[in-house]
Amino acid sequence: MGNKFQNFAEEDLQPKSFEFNNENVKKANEFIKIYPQNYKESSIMPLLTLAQTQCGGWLPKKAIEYIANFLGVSEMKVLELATFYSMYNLSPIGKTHIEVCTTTPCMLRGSDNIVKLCKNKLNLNVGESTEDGLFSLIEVECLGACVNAPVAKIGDHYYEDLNEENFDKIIENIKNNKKLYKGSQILRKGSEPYKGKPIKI
Amino acid sequence: MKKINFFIDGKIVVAEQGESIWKVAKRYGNTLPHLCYADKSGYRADGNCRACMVSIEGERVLAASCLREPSEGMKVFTKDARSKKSRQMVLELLVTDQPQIDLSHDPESHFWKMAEKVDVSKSRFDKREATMVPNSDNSNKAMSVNLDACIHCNLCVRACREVQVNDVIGMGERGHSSKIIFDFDDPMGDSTCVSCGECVQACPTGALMESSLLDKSGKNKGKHDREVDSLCPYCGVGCQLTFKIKDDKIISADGRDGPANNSRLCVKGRFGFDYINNPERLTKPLIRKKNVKKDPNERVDPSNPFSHFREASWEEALDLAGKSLLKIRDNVPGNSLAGFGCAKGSNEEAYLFQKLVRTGFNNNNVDHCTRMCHASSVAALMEAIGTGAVTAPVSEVKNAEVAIIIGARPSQNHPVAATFIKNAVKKGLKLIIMDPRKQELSTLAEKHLQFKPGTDVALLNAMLNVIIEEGLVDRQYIEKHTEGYQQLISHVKDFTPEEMSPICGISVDEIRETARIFANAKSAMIFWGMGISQHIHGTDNSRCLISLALTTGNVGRPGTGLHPLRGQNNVQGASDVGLIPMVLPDYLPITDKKNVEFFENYWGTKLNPNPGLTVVEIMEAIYKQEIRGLYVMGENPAMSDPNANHAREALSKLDTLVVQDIFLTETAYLADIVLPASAFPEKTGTFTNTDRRVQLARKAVNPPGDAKQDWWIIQELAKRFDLNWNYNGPDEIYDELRNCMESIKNISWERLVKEGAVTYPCDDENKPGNEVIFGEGFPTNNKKGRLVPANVISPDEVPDKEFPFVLTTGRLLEHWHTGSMTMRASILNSIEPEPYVHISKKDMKRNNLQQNDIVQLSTRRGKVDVKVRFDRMIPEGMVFMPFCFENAPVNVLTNQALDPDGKIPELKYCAAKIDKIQAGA
Repeated sequence: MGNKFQNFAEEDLQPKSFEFNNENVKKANEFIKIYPQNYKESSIMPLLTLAQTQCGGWLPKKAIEYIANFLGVSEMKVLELATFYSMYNLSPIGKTHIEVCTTTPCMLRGSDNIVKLCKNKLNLNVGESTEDGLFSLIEVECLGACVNAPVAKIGDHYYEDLNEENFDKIIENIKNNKKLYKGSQILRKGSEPYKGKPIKI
Repeated sequence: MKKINFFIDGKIVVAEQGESIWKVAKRYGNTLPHLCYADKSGYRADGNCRACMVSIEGERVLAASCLREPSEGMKVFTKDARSKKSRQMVLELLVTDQPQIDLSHDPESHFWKMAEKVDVSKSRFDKREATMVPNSDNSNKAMSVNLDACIHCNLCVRACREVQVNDVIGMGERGHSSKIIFDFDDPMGDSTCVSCGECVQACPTGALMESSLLDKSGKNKGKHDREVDSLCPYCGVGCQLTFKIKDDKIISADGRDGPANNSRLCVKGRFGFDYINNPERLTKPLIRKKNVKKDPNERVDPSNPFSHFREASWEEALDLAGKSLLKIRDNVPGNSLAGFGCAKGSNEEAYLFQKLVRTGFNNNNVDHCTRMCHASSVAALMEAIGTGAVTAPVSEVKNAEVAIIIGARPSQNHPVAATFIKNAVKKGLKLIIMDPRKQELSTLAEKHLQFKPGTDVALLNAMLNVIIEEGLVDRQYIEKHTEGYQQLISHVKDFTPEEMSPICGISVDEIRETARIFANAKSAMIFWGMGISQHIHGTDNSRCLISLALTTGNVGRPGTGLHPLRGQNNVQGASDVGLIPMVLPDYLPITDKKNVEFFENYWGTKLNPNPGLTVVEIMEAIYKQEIRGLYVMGENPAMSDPNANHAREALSKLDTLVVQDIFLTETAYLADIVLPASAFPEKTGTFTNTDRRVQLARKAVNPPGDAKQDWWIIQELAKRFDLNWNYNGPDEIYDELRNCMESIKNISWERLVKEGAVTYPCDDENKPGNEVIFGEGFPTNNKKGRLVPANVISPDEVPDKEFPFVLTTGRLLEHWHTGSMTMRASILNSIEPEPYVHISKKDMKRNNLQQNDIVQLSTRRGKVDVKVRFDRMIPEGMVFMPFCFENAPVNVLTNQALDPDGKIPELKYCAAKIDKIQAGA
């Protein structure tokens, strides 16, 4: 499922240095407190997440080094985790990062169309970002919301019960900087049975 | 401990506590297939390959026998169809993507043996697509990475992370695309890999291989013909290894499970052997041509020495050497001859060498490079506890709660010892490093005190002050085992942390805290190296360390001890057998009449009862032409001595200089007679490592051409001094030296052949040697250790306006000593081919320097031109330069000022300046 965001960014994109901002230092220390002192490795993942957020959605090499030093663990341990989880990006993503779930239930409910729509509408292939850097697209494994398939994660939020129509609108809204409606796009409450017209897929 | 009875295939077996089913089965003669598990110390079972699965009655799933421990009454089956099929399937799946065996990187690999064991040679499954097969990475000079053969067993990850603790290798990505990565998925050669090769030794498939064993296409060049168990010729750690030999050439080396190395090696020990096949090896005796003058500044081309020398027969060369030296002895008044022995030679060679000087040259002017390394430590140790050796081996660090490393950089100079220290840190050891420069171990350390160079005594005395003032001493121990405590109290009273802090540059709190950590530990060890000893206050430095250990009772128990890390592989042994001017074998002072009488009897000849001169003193006497003839075996004073220009000038004044070596060294440029000797892998002999372990090295290959065994050469020369020597081999010599040395009396040659290593002192022929010693007092007159106060003396030459930098010297991981071996070891030389002066970023900026700029580094004694390298380990105001490079010999710069007790020169401190000559390319 590798995509280019899981490869290290070219050297010219790598920042020369990284350190947590004050707020993240505080947060990081809170995370460290949760775990027993002799299990410093336990805090690697939450700290990677902090760093990724601070860097705008990806992890520069310097951030990995910084976290290793911050925790006093080896760089390799941090690196192994950062390369293992698809949620960590190792090179810059688009301003809007679209993660479409294409695992079985979503696939059966038409996730391929969602992917195709992105490709056509945004001229964007899976694992790439648009030239203007506004969008990037990847396919992901199960997002755990199969009851509302197909599902995509955009930024920090889930968008569910997608079809070409409503997904097209979401993208338009993003482009026009309009407010997005999160969750089910057919206004289902949670995963209650759908009472309206059958959705065409 | 409780034993566990259980059944394997219906047979009752007994397991020790903590023993895995795999281990028990092996003990009972049933070695189960295994890939990700290595039955070697330091390697934890991981249970990921599933090649060792067994079934257990009452359990639904199969169990990994390498990981699973048996319980009482458990019924384990290894031969049932289910577990057998499962093991086969694992191998078959793995065989699928392996390179074809006859084209593979290692057809003899553990993997193929295991496949054969379960009758698998082919796979029914489809191979992965050709585009998915990873390419080879040959960026590392020594090792090639062939991930096409990788089975993801992660033994290399454990080797790198848990055994050698370098943490360069990891398992990156996941699932189908997971792969072995180096650092940030860099090519191995660009990564921070230190090329220890532990991963190569661990890899079961040949995915990580010595490059030299593969042809260009990555195919194996063919199996070795024979193996010889021997030792590593480099540092004092004394790693045991096995040479693999093909067509009478050493093609590779594997670590052997010796007590000092547990099968580990470093880059030098594993990859640094082809120097013995270098075309510059001396193969015929050489005699200086009649009309060629000795010019101290001249360089002779070692590959074509015939500009200065002519070949001669052994008969002619030895006769000439003997005759010329005899003439000097008999015609020049005073002790006009001297000899420099060798800490790289065996105990037997060192013993014969000092015997020749004492009985043939008729004086005690015999010394060796211990004078350049631990002479001051030995002086302090002899004075305090009556012996110069370590009180506990490096491996004892596993039992220590705290360890101080001061003035030593084990990860460069004793890499394998460093791995044991790192292992201990991972298990909870608190490591305190004191070093003006940062080092690789600093990141693992609890504290790194980066004190100002040359202020060791100030720092250590302040620590002693805290320990005494705060009552952290071990009163009982002091009472029972030491003397001089009252004097020490009154002496260190003035050395308060407040007073010393500005001198040594460490804050008062840091000093106090460090002193408390050390003194409050239940067990603590102190390791030190040249950073302590190579100062004019080297002996004082060591005295402080000894006092620290004695006042806190940290000697003689598990996890405690004083350990000066020895540099050369046999510097301990060479000193033990008497290659020192003031003591006879076993450190018997020559000033004691009794000892002289004993040896006069033992050797059947009169002895000169006056202590001889030390290395630097001999050089001075040569300069003054009091000494006119010198016999140098294996040493290279023209490179290693401080103020080397002065040393070279002295050497050129000699009437007769006989050099016995494997290469035409810088010293040999000035020789009258050069005798071609044998290299380490070409000889058999005993060597004593830093832990006091006497170990046996065995001859692997023959010396080239007419080169001879060193003991034979010494004996032939002795014959020309009318000494009636008729040894037939090292074993006979060893017997003679053993019988005059109390310490190794119980370690016979036969025992060494059988056991490989025995630590001295050893109480009985049938008992193992004593590892941790002095639990019940010291070998001094009253069995007590002496606490000797030390004063703060500033270094001999401090920086000033003209020479603003402190210049310190040392070694690099890849290069040994003066480089005469490692510069000719192709892999080592290709990793570090040229000299650099290391400098801090700030100083680079201040002096407007860029990486690779060429500068002139100069001191009051000389200058060298050298490239600049940024080094983040170095503090401001200090520069470092390794002393191995012939084309930039840093020892023309160093100061020959001596420590008054140890007579060791101050190689670690002198004032220098840097001038930019040329911008770097």
